[in-house]
Amino acid sequence: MKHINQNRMELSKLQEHIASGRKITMASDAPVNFKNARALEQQLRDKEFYQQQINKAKTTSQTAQQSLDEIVDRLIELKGIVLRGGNSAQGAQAYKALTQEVETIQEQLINSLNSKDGSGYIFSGTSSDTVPFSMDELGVGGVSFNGTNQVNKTQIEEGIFVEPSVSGQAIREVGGIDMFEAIEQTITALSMGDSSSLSAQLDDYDSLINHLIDQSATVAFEINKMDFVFERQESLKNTIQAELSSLVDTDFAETFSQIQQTELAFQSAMTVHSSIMNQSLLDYL
Amino acid sequence: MNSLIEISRSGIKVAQEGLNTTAHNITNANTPGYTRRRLITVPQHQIGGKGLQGLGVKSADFEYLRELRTESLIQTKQQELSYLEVKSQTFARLETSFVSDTGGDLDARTQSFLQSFGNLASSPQSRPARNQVIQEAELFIDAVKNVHSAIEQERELTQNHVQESIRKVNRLLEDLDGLNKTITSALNRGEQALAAMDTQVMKLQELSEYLDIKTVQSDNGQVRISVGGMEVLSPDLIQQLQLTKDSESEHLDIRLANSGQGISVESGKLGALLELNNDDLVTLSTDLDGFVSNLVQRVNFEHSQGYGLEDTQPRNFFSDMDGSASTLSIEEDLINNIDHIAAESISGVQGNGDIAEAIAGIKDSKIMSGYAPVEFAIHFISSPGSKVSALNEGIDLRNSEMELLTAQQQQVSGVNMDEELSNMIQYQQAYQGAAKVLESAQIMYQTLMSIVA
Repeated sequence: MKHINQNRMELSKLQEHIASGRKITMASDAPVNFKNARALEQQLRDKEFYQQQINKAKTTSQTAQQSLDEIVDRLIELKGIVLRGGNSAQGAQAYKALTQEVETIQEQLINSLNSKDGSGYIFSGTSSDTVPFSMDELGVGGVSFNGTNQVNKTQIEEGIFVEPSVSGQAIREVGGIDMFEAIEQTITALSMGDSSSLSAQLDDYDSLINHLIDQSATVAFEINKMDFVFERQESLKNTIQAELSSLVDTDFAETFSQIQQTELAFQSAMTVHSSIMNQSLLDYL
Repeated sequence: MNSLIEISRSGIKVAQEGLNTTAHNITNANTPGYTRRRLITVPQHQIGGKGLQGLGVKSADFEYLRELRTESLIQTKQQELSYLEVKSQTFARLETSFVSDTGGDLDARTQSFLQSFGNLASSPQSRPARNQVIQEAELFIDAVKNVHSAIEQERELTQNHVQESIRKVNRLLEDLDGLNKTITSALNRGEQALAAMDTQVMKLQELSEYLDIKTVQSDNGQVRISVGGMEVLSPDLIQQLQLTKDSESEHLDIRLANSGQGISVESGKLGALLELNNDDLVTLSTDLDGFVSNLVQRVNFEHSQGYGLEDTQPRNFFSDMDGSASTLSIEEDLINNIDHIAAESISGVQGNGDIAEAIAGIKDSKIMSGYAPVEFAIHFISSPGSKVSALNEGIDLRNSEMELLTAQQQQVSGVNMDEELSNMIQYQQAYQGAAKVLESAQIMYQTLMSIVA
């Protein structure tokens, strides 16, 4: 009778494994495997968390890169204007038109530098709530920077951090040349029709363009780093998931075979039990 | 001639008694605690002029087939089995409260709570990130309180079970005392109180489920019982048990009601319940409190070093605990204004996420018994299940032993239907044989009477 009950319990357990798809649901099923499975689930959640961090940081980096590319384009346009202004054949009317064009580009540059993503302003350093650039007569080149020089870091793996963006201050300045100061000088030179001053500014714009390309490359390098780590984590996740599955998931083929074996033992035990119970001396009285 | 009739009458009488005994055995085959009887018959003789002359048969006694050593072993195994079963059932209930497959257990909540600071570190000014910290902290607190309340409920349930068990043990002691008296009174009348002795076996087995008793059976069937070296029942003494509870620690002790002397109960249901209440559940509760307290201290230490977005006032993240996980809560200031969550290490540099990063980094600190927070949470929530697994192995082993011992006991004391039916056939034939002798004697009488007539 005990064996019949044992077989019945075993069958019900196997049925549960098939229905739930898991052979370990509680620590009492297999304490060591349960603990290992939970530790693997912890690692899995860690990887998923870091992947979410990467996705968030990457969105910031991609927005930053797009903005930096726009800035480079605007600087190239500015360089073209400076080149045209340096040509002494320009008339006063043309200089005025060029001045307006430069002012428009200056606005566009400020707009690009004030880009936002879900976490806030991307070039305001750690002060992501603050609008980083604003027109300000007291600011260098008439534009002040309101953010911080330090940038937010994001941890994307144990001990690995990325800086998804660059500081606005670092963008506007290179080797003592300030972007907005250069633009202000260009506007002044254009309004005065000073072609020689304009020609002298070409090198500054070249330096600014190269600097912005460098900044964009820095961001691109961070994106590559994120992509690499993301892929590595994806691969690790697959390994962990496979290990986890081997620990807790039901092996259907094996379980079905166990069900058949247990069913056979169950039926045999019942047959033997009923056959013994049927034998009685009462039949011979 | 007269002796022939007497001989056959004695044969019929004994065969009838034999049939009665067999019928009694058969009808009690499934009665718990029943011990089979066997009729002892002896020949009757008398010394006459021709020496020893047979006068038939008579029933001398009923043999009461008991195997005391096996019964005592069964009692011991029963105590161990009951102890293991109570513990296993309790830890299984705790395991169900600690572990779910929905992903909201203490380990996952601890990890998500610390991760929310990692998220805040990368966007320290983000309102959603700050809200997430509060939400995850609340979920972590809920998980802690669920575990804590599961332990507390189990302790309350255990204490109720202890009281219930003491009442049951006292009733059983009273019953056994009554049985001792019935047996004594039957002895005084020169009888055997077989039914009382059957009930005694059953009651002793029931009592041994509750506590580790030592029994001594006298030759006449009376029983003496001692628990933890103290005699609680003898033919002229009964000592009831009494429960005492320390109002502060809720530690339970068992004492003798008359003398107030403490007795040690280490096995059986009661032993298990006492151990659960006084040790196991206290250890679980202390471990949880220790884990939460250490984590709170670490989080508060880091948090109070940093600055929120609005001012430079140092603040704890969690309110001060009074040592119990049940009192865990987030600082009211932080719930009212999420900008007070400290994420930055330098005052005035809004957005620096160093402090949030440091708090997230606690996940790797060995904060409790050499374990990192999530590792400890996994270890903690797995502990009841690990115990259930080990206890169930013990239960399987004891069950096998009990099965073997019960089979041994049944071989001696139990009713074997085949044997009883075979006895019935024998007694039936003996009855028919004796009746035939009587019939022959009657015919002989009639023959003689017809000659005389």
